[in-house]
Amino acid sequence: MSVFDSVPENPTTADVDRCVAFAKPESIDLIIGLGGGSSMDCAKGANFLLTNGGRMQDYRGIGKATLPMLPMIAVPTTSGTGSEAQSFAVIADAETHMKMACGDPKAACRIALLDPELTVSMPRSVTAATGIDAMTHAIESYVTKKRNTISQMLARQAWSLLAESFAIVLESPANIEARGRMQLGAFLAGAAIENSMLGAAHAAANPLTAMFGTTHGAAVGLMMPHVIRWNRERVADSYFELALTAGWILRTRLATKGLRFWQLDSRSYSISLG
Amino acid sequence: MKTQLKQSVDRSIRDDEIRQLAAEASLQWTGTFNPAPMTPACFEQLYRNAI
Repeated sequence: MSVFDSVPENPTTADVDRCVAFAKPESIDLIIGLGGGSSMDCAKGANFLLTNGGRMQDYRGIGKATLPMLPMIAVPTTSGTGSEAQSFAVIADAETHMKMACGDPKAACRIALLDPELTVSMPRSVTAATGIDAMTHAIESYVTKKRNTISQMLARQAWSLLAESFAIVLESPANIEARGRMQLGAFLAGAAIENSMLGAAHAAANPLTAMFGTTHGAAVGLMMPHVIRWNRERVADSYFELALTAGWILRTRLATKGLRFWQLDSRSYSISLG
Repeated sequence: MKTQLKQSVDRSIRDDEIRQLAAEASLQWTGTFNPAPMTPACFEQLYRNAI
């Protein structure tokens, strides 16, 4: 077994190239992506280049790999990315720092091992940022143009688990049951993305990360409430369904107005209508 | 966690930066799946709302 452990946050094409240069002489026949989304995406990206050659930019979009790819096992240590449930590697161009989604069904992980004990040691800030990321995955995948019965079922179940457990893991980091629900929620949200993609909050967040270095979870959390307001005339009912799913108490007179306010800070989060 | 863009960046954001952010956001593939169509002008307004 050979270990490549030099993956930074928001891996770039240069990081994938370094991983490939490390792995190629080892003649590996199985990849294990262990860590957060950056580690798993870098491993997935390396799989493209190890098996199909070329450079990461060649695989932007869906289904560009023509040759078989190596089997991969994902072992997430955060509860946010959902990469373990997806066939996409999100890799930033090393020159422009813009993120590219490179997907292929062959890149999907054969196995995802969800062990909540691996997430207990996350710092509070990482728990918050990754948890918010997972919640935005559930919200955005629930309302996209590509939404369908399967993606909405996955997103709604993800949202239910995440909304129930997020505050608990912030206050009680060692609560293994809540950690497990967060991990499963993040996985299901990732599976929802696989079926219906994401929306404007992620499109707006990625340039913030590229230009200002804003942490991904913070960037999507910052933009999500504004995107909800932007979309509410088209999908207010869907946002309302998520609020109901979460079990939040709603005032009927506000129900038709959609979500207007989402406040996140280091201690708590809240969503209100009106 | 910061809830406003200017807090997150820790300084005021220039108009040319907002326009650049909007231009780059409009090139992001994920934006095409948003339920409301997103143009560069839409993203520019979205960023201004977030400030």
